[in-house]
Amino acid sequence: MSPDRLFQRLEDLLGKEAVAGPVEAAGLAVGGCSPAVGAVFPASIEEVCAAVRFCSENSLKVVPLGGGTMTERCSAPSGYDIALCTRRLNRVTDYQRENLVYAAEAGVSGARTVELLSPNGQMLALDPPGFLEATLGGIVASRASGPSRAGYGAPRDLVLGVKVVDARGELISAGGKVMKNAAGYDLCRLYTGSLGTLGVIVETVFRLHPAPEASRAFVGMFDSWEDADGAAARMQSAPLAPRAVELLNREAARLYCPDGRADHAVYLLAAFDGTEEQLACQQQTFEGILEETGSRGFAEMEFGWNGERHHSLCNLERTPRDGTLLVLSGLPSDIPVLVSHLEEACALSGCRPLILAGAVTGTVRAVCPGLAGEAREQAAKMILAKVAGVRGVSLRVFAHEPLPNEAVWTTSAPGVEVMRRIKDQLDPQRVFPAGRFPGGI
Amino acid sequence: MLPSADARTAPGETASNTALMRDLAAIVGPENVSSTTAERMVYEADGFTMARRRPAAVVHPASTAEVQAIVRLAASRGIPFVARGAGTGLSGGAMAPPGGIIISLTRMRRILDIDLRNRRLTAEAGVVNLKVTQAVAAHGLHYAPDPSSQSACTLGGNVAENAGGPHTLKYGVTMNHLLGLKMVLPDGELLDIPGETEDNPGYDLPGLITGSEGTLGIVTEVTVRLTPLPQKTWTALAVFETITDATRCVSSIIAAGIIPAALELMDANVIQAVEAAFHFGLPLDAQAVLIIELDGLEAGLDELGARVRGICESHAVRELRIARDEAERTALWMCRKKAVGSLGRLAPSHCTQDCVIPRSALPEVLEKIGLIARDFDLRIANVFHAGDGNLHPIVLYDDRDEEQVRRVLECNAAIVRACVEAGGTITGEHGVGVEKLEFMPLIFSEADLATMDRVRAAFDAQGLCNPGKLLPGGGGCADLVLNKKAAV
Repeated sequence: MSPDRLFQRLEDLLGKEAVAGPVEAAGLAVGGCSPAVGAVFPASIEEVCAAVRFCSENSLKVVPLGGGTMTERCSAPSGYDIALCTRRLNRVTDYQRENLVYAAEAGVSGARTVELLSPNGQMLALDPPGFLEATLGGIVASRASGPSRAGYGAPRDLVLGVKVVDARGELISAGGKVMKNAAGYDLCRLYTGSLGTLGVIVETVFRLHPAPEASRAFVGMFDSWEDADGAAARMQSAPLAPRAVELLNREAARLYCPDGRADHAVYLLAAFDGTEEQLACQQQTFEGILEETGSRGFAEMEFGWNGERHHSLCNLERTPRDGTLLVLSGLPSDIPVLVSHLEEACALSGCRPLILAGAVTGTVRAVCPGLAGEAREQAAKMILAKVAGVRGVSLRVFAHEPLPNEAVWTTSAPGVEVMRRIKDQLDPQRVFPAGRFPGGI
Repeated sequence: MLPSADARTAPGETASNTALMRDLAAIVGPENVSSTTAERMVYEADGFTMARRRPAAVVHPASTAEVQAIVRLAASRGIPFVARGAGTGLSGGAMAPPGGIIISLTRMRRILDIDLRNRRLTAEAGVVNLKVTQAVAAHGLHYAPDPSSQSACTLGGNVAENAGGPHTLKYGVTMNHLLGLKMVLPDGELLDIPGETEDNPGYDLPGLITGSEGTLGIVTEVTVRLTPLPQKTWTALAVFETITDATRCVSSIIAAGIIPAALELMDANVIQAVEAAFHFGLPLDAQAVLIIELDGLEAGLDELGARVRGICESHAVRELRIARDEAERTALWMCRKKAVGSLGRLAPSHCTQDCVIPRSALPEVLEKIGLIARDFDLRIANVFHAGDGNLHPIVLYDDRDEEQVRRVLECNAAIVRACVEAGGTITGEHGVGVEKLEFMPLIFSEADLATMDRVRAAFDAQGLCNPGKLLPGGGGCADLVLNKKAAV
């Protein structure tokens, strides 16, 4: 069947308002690639089932798409036909305020969630880059998290349930709306972070948290990563309960600080939630640590979940249009070494990256404007050579242009053979196209 | 009881069985193969004693390499196998499959690495849960999942069941604390997920494997997250005239935006049993007590305690005893920890249910459970994780009376159905095992179950790894159900 005829059939199936041709869909790139046939915008879970079933029966490749805030965080798919956009799946299906449970269709945005929960003194404790524009389905599919993961956990910790349309177009329910669930395999964990390679997430259920009375961030300034890391290590054994502990290099701090001034090499930002009394105590403890570890300065700022300072920190790690985002993960104690590898590799091409490092999670992100093409390849190669043989370290390389699989997922995924077998079982026809996920899945 | 001991599978002294014993002994040494009838009888059941099956052999490896060799041997001969930790599971998950062997991991009990800076601990699967906390407590850390059996149960078993405990309300279940693992796949290959990073690329295999009840492979080593001990703890015992007041109080605490570290409820039956056994001074005429624990930073904790007190008062609390020191706190927790053990005073046998419901449904569902007990003419004691909505109705009976056993089974089914109708699930922390197989279709569609079957096939194409557990329709469960019906 010709692409035109297929498109016509999809239009008949879903209605004119729910389809867009290849020209209109060109902007809906995933992994740098646009769909060959077009895009569909189903307005209900039943329509998602119908669309995927149609694609499966007609050998069309489907890539799910949410708010488009993380679409570059994968490798280029091996060609695909249909972008399935979840933005019209926009109903909040069950908000149990008294149970701290929130269920919403996949296309509901972070902003809408905040708008609904805030007046009730509750929040969804996730803060990935672009949270307000991101969709809940997209956040779960990409397991996107932000600085507050240190205190509240990642999507895997907060998702109670998901509904997914599988490669056959069937609706699969995983988990539920209760706090604990040990029935059957925990497919929520499998779908969370699966980047749409196993199905289209159509509904998500989250555990909520009470919104804190107050939130504040304190910043210490250091001359070196080792000094800053020493302070972060001291925090581990101190009576502190941080929501986020991030290390920023000078370039990141310059962009982040309202006045653009940043005279020190490294900034240690520790954010706390709690009562005013708790914040005051933690400030005192934190300042004590700074004093003992040779900090050169101190600042404090309001850091409310819905505040500008918080969002702008989260959004610092967006992949630059003309450059690269390097994500290097390891043990928290390895941060100074990992940062030195990143800086050295970037220096080769004259790139001065913005570096943010999660002192609790051990994930270092380097935003590298202008780092592209061969320079990007060289930088990745150099970092990989430095971390070769270090157990557990992984490097991911993201850009808005299409990148081959091994250029993005540079370190092999542990258990990749098992992952392939899971993909073979759940999507044998590759309705969700290969190539985007680690190991070429 | 469900399958009677002699309906099970004991291959006897056949030539092939002798060859199996010899080959297992060649891997682990003859002293580490349990093959006599008396030895094998010990392993007929785990903590769920209503189902029993005697294993063909029990083998006790001391290393991951030995587990791999055993699994390869079993796979080559088509012999089903199941891993077993301390055998404290409560759904029959560690019972031998028909004709199968048990691979006991209790010799694998070394803590391999403690990384204080990065708050991680790596240990073999047979390490007892409590040993982890004991190993790091002096450094101000602990391992948060704390199932009631924590002084006996093993880390491997905790992963298999996604174990929880009283403090999971605030700290989460096993899945939230598992960073990496080594697992012997059903073909003997090793899956090695490093726990060094929280961001391994690809699917979340540790998340999927946690709670898979030993059906995807045998976890031999785990890397877990260590959590700081709280700076201060506020623990109180709240006494209520009615169970409804207590459950409404639970809902109000959560709805007020307070997440306690633990929120445990004991009903009148439990209070009476505990008091008769240990004389803690609990009021015998009370219908419910709550143990409420808040923890965290010292700053603000007393104020939070005052808020909780106010909420309790608004729900007609009769008495609120706040622990003044660690000794009093320990005594309050002792009431809870001794609860299940003390039920032996009330009846010769008891069967613990495990369902989860929305917290706000607690009053209505507990009332319904009371009616179910009356309908089946059975006594039910309730001691459970109220803050999570994780119910543990304990049916008291005499297992020598077959008619009572039949009623217990029907009563359990009625409780599970009531919980599902209230928007809940069939198990929160004990797993499906063999006990809950028949209830899986209550919460999962055919398509959901088919997806789980496919996931299982991705790991275990031969179907030898703990078949007949977790998913209905798997090999071995049919005969179990038949045995169960025959037994009653």
